[in-house]
Amino acid sequence: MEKPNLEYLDALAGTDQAFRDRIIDILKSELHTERSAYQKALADENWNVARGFAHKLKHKIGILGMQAGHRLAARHEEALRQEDVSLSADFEAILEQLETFLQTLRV
Amino acid sequence: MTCILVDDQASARAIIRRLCDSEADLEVIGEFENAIEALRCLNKETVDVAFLDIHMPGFTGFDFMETIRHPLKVVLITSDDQFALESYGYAPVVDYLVKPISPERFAKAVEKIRQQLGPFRKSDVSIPEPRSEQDLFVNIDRRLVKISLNHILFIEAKGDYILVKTDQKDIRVHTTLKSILEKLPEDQFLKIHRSFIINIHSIVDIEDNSVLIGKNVIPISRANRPELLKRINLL
Repeated sequence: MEKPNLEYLDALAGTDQAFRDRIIDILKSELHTERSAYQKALADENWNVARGFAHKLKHKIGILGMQAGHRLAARHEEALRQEDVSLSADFEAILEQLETFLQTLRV
Repeated sequence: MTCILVDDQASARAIIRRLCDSEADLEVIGEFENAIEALRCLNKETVDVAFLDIHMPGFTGFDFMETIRHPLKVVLITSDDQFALESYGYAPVVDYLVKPISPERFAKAVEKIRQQLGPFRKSDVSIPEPRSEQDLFVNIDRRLVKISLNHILFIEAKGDYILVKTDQKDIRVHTTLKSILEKLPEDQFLKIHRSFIINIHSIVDIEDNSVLIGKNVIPISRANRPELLKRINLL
């Protein structure tokens, strides 16, 4: 099963630990906020808003190296356009995985 | 080159800034989480390129490009590749980057910008706004002859006519210094003597009682010297 990783961010940061810490801090905060907003929009059946947040979250899935997850997020985003929530559970599982992963990182 | 970053996600802005920092000749002069703020910046700052997210709530990257009047280069940044074709319908677009952006791909985009901007970067040189007043038409033998103001070196009163000395030719016009002075932009031309108006931009050097313009020495009256010194960029 695909796991999140820091390959992209580590390559970007090089030896700059301050940048690495800062971007992880931003990702933690953004992921939490956007995930909550996405869940609320989904519960409210506000598909457009949910799709917007799915789009933002897709970016973070890509940054954290989950390529299959990124593809699923893209399909989910497109499905939401048709009010199709069949991929919601899989998408939610990826978000949970990401949030858990980020929490394990010390900044 | 100067640039701005426009993306509603802080993580995306931080990453793009990091990529910009790796390019020695790229200076980030502003980060904006929405396109409206970025537009305001363009009214105040000299910007060569915008790294622009397409998906932003309310006012999108496409809206931004339809609004800008500045000769700005744009690198579009998005998580989707579906807009690539559409994006090239917008004249400012130089490149289209899909997130997450690799440093190598970013470097290629910056190289494209360098090639398109060439030596004429807005942040390096000041390009005057095109102005219709930059030409003056004078009546010579019943013909209206155009004189480019930037080509005028100085104008000399010669009894019942004036001599307009340009960098290409001398033009004799039947009018007065006072009349022509009213038609010239104040920030560029100054009367420094009862018989002379000069183009301040053409001055080579200034001595106590004269200025050198081309190979011509033009007298300065004592009363006009302080105003001339005020108008030049004096260190």
